[in-house]
Amino acid sequence: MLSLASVKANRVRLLGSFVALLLGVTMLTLTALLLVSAKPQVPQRFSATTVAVTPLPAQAPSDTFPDHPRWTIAEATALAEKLHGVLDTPFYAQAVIDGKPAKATAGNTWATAVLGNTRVTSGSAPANADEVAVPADLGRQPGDTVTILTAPGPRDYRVSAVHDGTELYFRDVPPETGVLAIGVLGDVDPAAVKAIVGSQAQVLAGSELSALEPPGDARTRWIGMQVLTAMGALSAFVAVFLVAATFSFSVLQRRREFGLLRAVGATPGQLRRLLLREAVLVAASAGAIGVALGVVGAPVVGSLLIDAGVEPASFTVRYDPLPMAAAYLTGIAVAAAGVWIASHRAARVRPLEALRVAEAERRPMTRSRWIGGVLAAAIGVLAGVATASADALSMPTYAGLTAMALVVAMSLLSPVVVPPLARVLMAPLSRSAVGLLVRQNAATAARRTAATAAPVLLTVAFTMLVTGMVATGASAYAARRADALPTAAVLVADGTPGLTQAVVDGSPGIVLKPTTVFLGREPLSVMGSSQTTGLTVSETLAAKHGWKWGSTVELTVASGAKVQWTIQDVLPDREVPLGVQVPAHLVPPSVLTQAVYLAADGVKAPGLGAKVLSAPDYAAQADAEEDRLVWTFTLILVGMAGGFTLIAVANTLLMATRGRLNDLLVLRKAGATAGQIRRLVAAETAVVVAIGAALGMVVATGALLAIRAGLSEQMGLPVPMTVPWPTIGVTVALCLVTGFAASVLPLPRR
Amino acid sequence: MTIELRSVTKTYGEKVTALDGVSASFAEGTFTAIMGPSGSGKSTLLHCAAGLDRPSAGEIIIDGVSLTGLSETGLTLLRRQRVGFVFQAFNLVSSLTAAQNVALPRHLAGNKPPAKEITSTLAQVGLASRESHYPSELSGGEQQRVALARALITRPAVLFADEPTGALDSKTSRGVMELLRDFPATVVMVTHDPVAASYADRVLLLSDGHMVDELAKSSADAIAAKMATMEASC
Ligand SMILES: Nc1ncnc2c1ncn2[C@@H]1O[C@H](COP(=O)(O)OP(=O)(O)OP(=O)(O)O)[C@@H](O)[C@H]1O
Ligand SMILES: [Mg+2]
Repeated sequence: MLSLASVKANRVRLLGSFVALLLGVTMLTLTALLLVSAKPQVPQRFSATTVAVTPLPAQAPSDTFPDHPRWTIAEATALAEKLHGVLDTPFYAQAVIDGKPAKATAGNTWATAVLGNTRVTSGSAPANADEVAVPADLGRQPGDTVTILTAPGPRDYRVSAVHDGTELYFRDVPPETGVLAIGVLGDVDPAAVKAIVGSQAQVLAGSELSALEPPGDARTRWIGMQVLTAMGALSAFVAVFLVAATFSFSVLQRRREFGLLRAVGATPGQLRRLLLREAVLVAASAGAIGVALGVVGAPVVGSLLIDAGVEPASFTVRYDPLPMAAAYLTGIAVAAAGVWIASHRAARVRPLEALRVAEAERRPMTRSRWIGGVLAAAIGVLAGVATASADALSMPTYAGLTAMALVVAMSLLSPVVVPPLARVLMAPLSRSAVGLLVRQNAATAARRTAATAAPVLLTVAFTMLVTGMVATGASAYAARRADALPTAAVLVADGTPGLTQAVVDGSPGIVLKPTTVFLGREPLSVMGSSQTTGLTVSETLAAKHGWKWGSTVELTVASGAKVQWTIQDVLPDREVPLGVQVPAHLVPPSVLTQAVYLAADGVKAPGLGAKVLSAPDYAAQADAEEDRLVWTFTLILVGMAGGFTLIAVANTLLMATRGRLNDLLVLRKAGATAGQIRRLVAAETAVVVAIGAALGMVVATGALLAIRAGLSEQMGLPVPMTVPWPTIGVTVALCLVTGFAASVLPLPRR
Repeated sequence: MTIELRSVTKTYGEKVTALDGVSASFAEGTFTAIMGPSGSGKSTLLHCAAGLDRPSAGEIIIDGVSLTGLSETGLTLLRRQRVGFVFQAFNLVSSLTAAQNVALPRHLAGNKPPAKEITSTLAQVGLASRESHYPSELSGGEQQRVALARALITRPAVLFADEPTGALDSKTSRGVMELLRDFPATVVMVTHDPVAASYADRVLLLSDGHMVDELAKSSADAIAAKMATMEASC
């Protein structure tokens, strides 16, 4: 078969396309696998549970993550007896090791251990209120004493058992702990359970048990989903762009070969089919390796995401064959589409072009290239206008679209600007022979230079866009935070999810204890505050529910208890930030305190798991956590896309240099020294990187201007465009170093 | 097969006129040599006549069919069925062996020649044992003969050869000329060598894109003398 022979014969030349495809499919597999794995999972502690019965779930928008509603133990016990079920009563419990809170874990009663098939590995189940069963990784043995933090405060327990699960198990629960679910084991029919519980409870079975995931994990997962979706969109774009660009580049490089085949009788259609078959053959093998690499890489990236805090610790990669197959087929389809488009140009190669050894392309721009470029530019401008008037949620999408369209437009139209740019860039060197050669090469081979610069363009544009977008956004939001705190020092959690009651009791000040209560099934955020004397609601909330001063509302609190609270005050929204404010002592003791605004003279030694911050530090820390997440997000995106595009930079430069070895040989024969050749290639690489970087910056500047306009519009104040130049400098330098490594090093030494 | 050129003009850009209204006719079974100074348009004439390039003006008619109306694919099909071409620069595919290069046109046309035929065709041009060598392993003259074999194996009705003996010694050159003379097809050959041209039935002289003269079958000396006077006049 001709295509197979051609693949074999062109093995070296096809290597570039092979690498591009391999990268693309790796990236697609990786993100697709992670995306599919990011679906909620059944918590480990329910892994052996057949059916779980829970209170009716909260009715809340899908991007908010309120606590799960609970029953009181009294309420749930009767139902549990009917179902022969176990009460699941998760509560806060954290061991203290060497004076420091250990990695947060949850507490539960030993009775619930069966729901997750947790078994004692040594010792015996906790038999009294002073005993605890601990997971093996805590490093404690039965008989040891261990300090454990629960909502009331620290307390010493005797380790009665070590088990193979993840939680701390006690005989009892702390006071006012609610029941999250009733777990039923064994061979039970969910429908039968439904018949028993009626419409007053929710029955979950199988994968539905994932609904019992802690809200914090669900929220992290949601953030992770945003990250992964962005990663997915970006990698799909990068993969398609790289594969299409590389394939059309390889077609460009093989003009002579195609002309020759045309001259000895290949029809244009035959050439196209040859190219297509070749592309599919390459894609089939490169894609297989790409999928394998993606499968290997997914857990690595997954654990990075966990470390970065954008996926919960329970995140594991699920090796679903569907995303792998999809990535594989996408790779083949993209390669086929990319080469099909490029093949039209190849097939138009006149037979006589084979006879002309010289490379000068007289018409770098074709009509279809003009049309495509102008069309993409128009889409980019439209998306830019949309960015400028978009809301905060849709802005990144539009900004991304703007950048993608502009990247495509720029790389299609760049053959027009390459010759003048090369002239300007080489002006200082134009007197030397090498300078002259570089300038002429870039000018006569505008297409090749543009194609080689495309991955650099992509790398620089995206680094600058993503980091610039984040930096501009950050400087915009900085303008908005400047509220003064009513205190000089704040007591906050340190290595724990919140402050225990013992810590709060030892530190006089204003206690902030946010929680969730339920009005029927509607979750309401409530701030428990020691400054408030009675139930205070915001005007908006009051209007929504028809509440007035003196109205009595029945609510379910975190412990599952029903309470009747009488409204004492209705205040403007800005004075009741969460909408509802109650005295801190009304919040169930199972809820942890978020912060204590310390009284001026009240700063004492903070207790276990707490630290004192000055007010400015506190404000900064709150932002810092937010910033950290955003920057992590940014780094993941830039790192991933940048890593792949850098390889692509090396790849195309290697292809370009290899394609020119003949030319370089001619130069050698004409009297150029090896050093001159090396300098020539290095200078050409530098010009390519400079052109790519310049065009990339133009693209990113366009998108950033749109973002700045959008932010200014949203905030009603002028926002400066902030560009992290050092990051971009590093990116360009990396491109340069990679480029040199790929183009100069492979040259023959002598 | 008869080929007819009617006022064929070929320009490159605005400045270069490689052919300027050339008319010529090559009758079935004849052997024509085209001569002329370097840059006079010989290769261009051959390319246009063979349908490898399209003229800027004028018409080329092969066997009664005008090439002007043919699509690129139609042109390719016609070429590969009826026309053989030996390029001035031999243009072998460097990744294929001599045998594979020879087989390539038939392979592309979907009727791969049997190994025996490839061997015998290579033997015809004196390269019996070089089937498995790559172009880089062959001398210039040997490459030229592989290119000739590649044209011969398609059994074309018309064969164009652009300086087929440019890289050959006089003995090998003679062999190739006898081959072309006896080849059962219309043969059109460009050459600078009066000895080679003396094998042809007639010689056309080209100068500066114009057909300036025509000689009937002549001796090498007569052709050389004619060439000398022509070159002196310009
Ligand atoms: N692609 C091209 N672009 C511009 N000019 C060309 C091109 N091809 C040929 N020419 C010019 O057309 C003229 C005729 O070229 P052609 O190759 O036909 O000459 P020739 O008679 O074959 O010469 P030689 O004996 O040196 O092979 C020359 O002046 C040449 O420079
Ligand atoms: Mg010529």
